[in-house]
Amino acid sequence: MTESTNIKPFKKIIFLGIILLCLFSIPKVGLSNFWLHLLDMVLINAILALGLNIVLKTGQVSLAHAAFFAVGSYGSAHFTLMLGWPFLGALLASSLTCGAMALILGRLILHLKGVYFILLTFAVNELVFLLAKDLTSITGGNTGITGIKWPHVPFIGVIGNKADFYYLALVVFLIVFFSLYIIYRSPFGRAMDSIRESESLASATGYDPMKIKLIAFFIGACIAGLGGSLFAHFTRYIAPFNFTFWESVNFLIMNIIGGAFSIAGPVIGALVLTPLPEFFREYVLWQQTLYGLVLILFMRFLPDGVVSVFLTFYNFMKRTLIDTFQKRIN
Amino acid sequence: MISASTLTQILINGLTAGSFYVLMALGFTLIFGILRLVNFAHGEFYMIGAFVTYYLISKFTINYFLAIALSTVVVGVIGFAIEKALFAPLRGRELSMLMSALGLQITIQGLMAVWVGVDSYSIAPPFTGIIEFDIFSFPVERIFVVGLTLLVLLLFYLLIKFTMIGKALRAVALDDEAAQMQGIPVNRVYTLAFGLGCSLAAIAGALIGPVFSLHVYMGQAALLKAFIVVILGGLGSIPGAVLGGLILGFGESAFATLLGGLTAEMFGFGLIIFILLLRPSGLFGRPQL
Repeated sequence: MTESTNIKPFKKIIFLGIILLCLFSIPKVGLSNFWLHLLDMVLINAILALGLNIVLKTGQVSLAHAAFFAVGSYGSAHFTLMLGWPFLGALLASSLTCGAMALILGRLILHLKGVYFILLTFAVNELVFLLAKDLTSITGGNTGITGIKWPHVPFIGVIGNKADFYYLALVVFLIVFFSLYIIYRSPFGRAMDSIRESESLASATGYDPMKIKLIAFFIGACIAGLGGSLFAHFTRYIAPFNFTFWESVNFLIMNIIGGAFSIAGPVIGALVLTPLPEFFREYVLWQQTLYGLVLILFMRFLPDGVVSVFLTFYNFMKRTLIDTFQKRIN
Repeated sequence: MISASTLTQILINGLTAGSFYVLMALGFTLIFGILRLVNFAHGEFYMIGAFVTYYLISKFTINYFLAIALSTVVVGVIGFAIEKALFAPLRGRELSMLMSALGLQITIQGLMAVWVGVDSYSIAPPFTGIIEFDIFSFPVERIFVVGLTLLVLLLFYLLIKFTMIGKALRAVALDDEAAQMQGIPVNRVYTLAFGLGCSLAAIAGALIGPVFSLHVYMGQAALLKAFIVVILGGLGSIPGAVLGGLILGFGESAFATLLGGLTAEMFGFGLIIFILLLRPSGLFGRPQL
């Protein structure tokens, strides 16, 4: 037993190294701009979906994620265009702006549970969307904001094409992913799990549910802000239609299809769902129907998402493999 | 100060919008009260109701009143079928039901966009003319909307209060397990409540057709209004839906006339934030679980 525990972390590091190497070498294989664009969008969506995941982990279903996405995007656009801040400063500032908004909003609405919370976040999303549309002096109204610059990163220079942007998005994605990985495994992660399972039991055990939900909401919003900022500097044009209620639903669907109770879920969801519209261009009218049907079918037959299938398959394979090995030894 | 004609305008617009909000919120709150389901597809049933009425009138040249009645029945039947197929297997799983309703909303909207396209349509108003009354003037069309809403409310009240069906609905809303023990066919009551709620949305759709234009995405805004009304009045509360609908209707109308459209839109959100700070369960809501 001691041997295997010594080998395991080593194996893990090698495995991780290979994956990272693959991830970092993807743009080197000479992909066309179309594929690079898709990959960048997958990363941005994965960051945003991960941000929603930590909120879902406390058992709160938020439909206001696109609102934070919007605040991050518009914030970053303003910090760079109006105030002339460098990109990294704007990235952090817009992330913290979202976080601050989440702290204020969270105090108001996080004591609501279940459907009340969902309804309220829906209304918040609509409110932010309306503001983006109607506060023309700040948001440019329906025409949006154009002329956002490619990000400029110190020591590296301007990230001026889709391949370079991939690295930037990948670094942010990896930071977010591993931060969440560590958080989920920390005592705080266990506290979030316990609150999701039973809030009264958790508070009886000595946790403060409101505080933990608020922190999770804050972290989720900060991550959404990062995603929003990246999005603004990637497309270099933002308008209200990027931040509709459907976008919130989209992030939710990514979590559900991938599997909301696993950190790999939202990433797989983003990977599966982001390219879909591109491949169904000819059936663009049917796309929405397809989306809806997929969601209904998943809720009915696979409520724990694709990851649960992988896990079942993995456990099944492991068991059968071990069984055959043991039989051979015997 | 506000002139008499402005005041009449505010009142008429508020009453029309309020009637329409009441009808939307009534079905929505009924479905929530009985099934514990946040029906995200409620706006789509409203949209289907409007389009069925439109097709009955324009393609089959059916009388407007008959068209309203028919579309109510058609949408009710669609509601029955969808409840049986979609929500019955998910009974008791609140979150899964909500997500499925979301999926249903997307699906219906997508299907309708394929079938009827994204253009705007309008139903020829069945009434024209204005009743002049001293210095006040009332468009007949709007009086009809308010009158029919009152009729529907009365029928609904009689149904809930004095029939066996109403008794069963109230029993299930109160406690479904106890209702089942009394021999009430709870599953059938669920289906009935969903169909009934969809019918109410269809009436709203059919009524709004001649007043505004119809398009595939009209359900979204209506759903938002229903949400606001229901949060204001209290989820699952029928008197709350009526009062909330009227408050929102009059408030929006007053703000729109005096301060402009944007403030009117913000009014609803302001109301929600206010009510959540003071009384999170809404005006008539039971305190949440």
